[in-house]
Amino acid sequence: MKDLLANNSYKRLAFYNKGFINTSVEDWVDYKQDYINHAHLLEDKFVDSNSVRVSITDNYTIELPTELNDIANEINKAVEFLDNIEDWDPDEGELYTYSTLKNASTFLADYSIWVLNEKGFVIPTPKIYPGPNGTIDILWKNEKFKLLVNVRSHPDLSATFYGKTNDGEEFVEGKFKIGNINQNVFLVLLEQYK
Amino acid sequence: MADFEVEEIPDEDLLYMRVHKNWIRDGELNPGTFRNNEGGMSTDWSKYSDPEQTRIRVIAYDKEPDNYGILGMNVGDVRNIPDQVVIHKPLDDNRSHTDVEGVKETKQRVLYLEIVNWEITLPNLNQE
Repeated sequence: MKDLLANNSYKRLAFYNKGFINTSVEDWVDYKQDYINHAHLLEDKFVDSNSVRVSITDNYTIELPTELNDIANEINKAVEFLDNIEDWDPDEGELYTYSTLKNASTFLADYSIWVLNEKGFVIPTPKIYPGPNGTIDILWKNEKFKLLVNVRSHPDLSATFYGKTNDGEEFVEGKFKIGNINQNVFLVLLEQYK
Repeated sequence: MADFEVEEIPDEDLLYMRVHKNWIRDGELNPGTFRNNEGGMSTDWSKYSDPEQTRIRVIAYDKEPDNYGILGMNVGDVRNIPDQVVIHKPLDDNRSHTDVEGVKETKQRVLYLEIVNWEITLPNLNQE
């Protein structure tokens, strides 16, 4: 597995089942932005029996190594929540879109793969929640620490984060662009849960 | 403008806040519930309300009370969260109404998770 990861075999993949020509204008803009921010999206498809895949939309699938199956399941729950939401009360605020979910899922997948690849451990599985004003909250919460990452609707808009150990001795705080994160910053907290 | 006098709320009192079932998943509270609406996070002061009164008050807005749980939070704890300001804003039909103003960024919302307790849980949810 380590060799596969080192060879970059596991990457987030986009399956353009319909092709650009048949996509809507809205999707085209979306894909174009994805392409700008993540040039490796258009790599050849890679399918491996040791991986799990989560479809965010018909045209966008994330692939993770099986070690990260719990992360994949959580992303899938967020997709199902959006697929099946019928009784969301609009007075409770704007709900996130598939586009925002792609941003959040991309961050979570890329980051968890990076930690597995570079640091050799599986990060604890967070919860993916609707956040305020159509954003998405990614929350790690356990007996040792809390870490909240808030992802907004466009990858060019900075995500914000705050985390702390439950004893209050360590904390992290800041913002980052999706795909351009200083990936070590969360390890202060996440490594405590190895 | 409500006829009720605006009062200073002591640190030892409680604030009650409704939480719609949208903001609970797998029995756990979603930090997105801590957000401003029209400038502040709407709560009720324990001096003039209790948790059940806060819950059924949604009937006035044509909402179903059973869709809401009620959180309680100590006023002093709220004031210890950076940038949070507790302001009594009585309404004609709700003397207890209190806004908690100030940004609700990731830092504030994580800290809110640490100070709230369920006063009334939603039916059929194993809330933590």
